[in-house]
Amino acid sequence: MPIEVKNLSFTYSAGTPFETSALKNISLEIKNGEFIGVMGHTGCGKSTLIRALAGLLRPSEGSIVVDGSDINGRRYDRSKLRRKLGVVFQYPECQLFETTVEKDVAFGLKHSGLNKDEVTERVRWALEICGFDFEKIAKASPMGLSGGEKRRVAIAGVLAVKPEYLILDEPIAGLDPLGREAFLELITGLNADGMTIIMVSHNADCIGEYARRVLLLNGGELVGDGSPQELFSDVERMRSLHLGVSRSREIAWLLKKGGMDIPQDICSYDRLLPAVLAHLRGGDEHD
Amino acid sequence: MSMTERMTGQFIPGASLLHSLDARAKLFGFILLTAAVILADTVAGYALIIALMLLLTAVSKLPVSTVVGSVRRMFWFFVIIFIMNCLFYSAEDPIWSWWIISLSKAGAVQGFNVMFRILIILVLSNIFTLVTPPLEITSAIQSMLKPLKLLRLPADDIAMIISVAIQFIPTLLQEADTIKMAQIARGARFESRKLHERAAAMLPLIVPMFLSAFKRADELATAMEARGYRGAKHRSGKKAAPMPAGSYASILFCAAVCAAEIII
Ligand SMILES: Nc1ncnc2c1ncn2[C@@H]1O[C@H](COP(=O)(O)OP(=O)(O)OP(=O)(O)O)[C@@H](O)[C@H]1O
Ligand SMILES: [Mg+2]
Repeated sequence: MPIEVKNLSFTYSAGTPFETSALKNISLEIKNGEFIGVMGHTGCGKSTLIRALAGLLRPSEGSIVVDGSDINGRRYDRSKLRRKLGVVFQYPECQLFETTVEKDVAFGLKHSGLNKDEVTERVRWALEICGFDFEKIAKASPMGLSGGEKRRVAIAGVLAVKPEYLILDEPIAGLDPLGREAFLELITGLNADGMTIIMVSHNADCIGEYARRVLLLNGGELVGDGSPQELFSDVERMRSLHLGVSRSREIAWLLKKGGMDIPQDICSYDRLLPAVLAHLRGGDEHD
Repeated sequence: MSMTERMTGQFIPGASLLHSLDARAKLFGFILLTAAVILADTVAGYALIIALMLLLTAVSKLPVSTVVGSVRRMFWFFVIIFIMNCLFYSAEDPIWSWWIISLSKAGAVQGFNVMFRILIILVLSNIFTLVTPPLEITSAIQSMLKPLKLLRLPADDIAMIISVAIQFIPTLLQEADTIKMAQIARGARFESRKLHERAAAMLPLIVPMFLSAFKRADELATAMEARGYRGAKHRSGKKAAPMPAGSYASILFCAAVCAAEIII
């Protein structure tokens, strides 16, 4: 069942001189199994939207309905939402606090009703898909790990709950290129297994390559909702929103401007390469 | 503080008389008025204090709701202070007493006095920080601490420590809020009604907060050293400007209020 957001508005510090309207009249629907990228200039309300979806902020106006029930309804059981919807915040490595990695990853399972063995099994699964050797890492202290490892442990802690929806706020910021790729492969794999992904990122490449739907925010408003192909096709509009497009898209755009006949719905590397190759080969044959 | 509210008492830019006063004068005046509030113990004294608060609020041109914002949220704190004072005041002629608890008129008066003073001092400090930018507060503290140098105490370093602490408070509060949200999303139950669950739930908040505070302190120290900080006395501090006459007048005014409270 989907997430339905209807006329959502949110204002920080309402009624004070610091009043900031962070979300304005946002409506959208998220279906199961989607891979959604959220883009927008700094301060446009991406994190606020995520907090609202996770039920951490009460909307000033509008409603958020998850699987048929309003998450801000009076009778709604929030712990149900916590099990259904996992959130990886910006710099999640800051939330580690337990003495061992195993305990930290198991934290979210405390109220899940699983027995001890089941919990251990879940923790093993989560750590292994995040690229760890369970036996080696389980008893280590999270504080002694490197930044990248800490982040993967934190993500394992969210995945251990096996959420149906996974929301990520800038998950790849600060990762090295290899870590970034491994991480995106992991997310894609989870998505292929049916998990709905909502990922905020400044990185147009990662959105262009992996997301199948993009939400564009600007000044708290939803100004774009569609496939990367659709939204990235207008490079100038993206720039006017202080956003870039994926490099593959930019290359296709520049080649076209330079007189090369390249399809303009290319956003990802794996489509750009054959297209350019075909064009070059085609050019050769004509000569 | 929660994510949806700014820290109360955070500076709000403005063009009122209070905003334009020298920060040193405001700090000094704040201390004098706090003394006045503590000295007040008659109905006339209280009336003067209340009139003064109204005057300050009017002159500051701030919305009343902002000035009393934090106080309203501490309602239960005041109720508890009042009750505690009422019950544990050992008067000669209790109306009713049992074991160490006794109820008397004097106790109720005492409870009211304590509550009233804390409340007014809170509002006063709120007004002070609302009309004074944090950096100016710091340099005002710095000049107030100058006499400590005569006692060979490291006044500049103390002022530096206070200023760093003041500047980090909003950051740390914001961070506490972010971490709290992250842990709630992971299933932490801060809002649980069971006391033992709530106590245990503080751990996921406190541990990361300490870690990050230490990390920040460490980073700041490294950055300061890297940029050549070797104790405040090596700094070429800029000469403090003399205070304008209006500021002296405001200090005089506060001193007058203080004197009036001693007399009545
Ligand atoms: N706790 C808060 N109190 C008041 N205003 C806030 C608070 N948090 C965010 N804002 C404001 O709300 C707006 C949206 O902030 P938000 O954090 O959602 O932006 P963002 O899109 O996530 O930005 P970034 O890309 O920098 O993470 C900004 O104008 C910000 O200043
Ligand atoms: Mg953000």
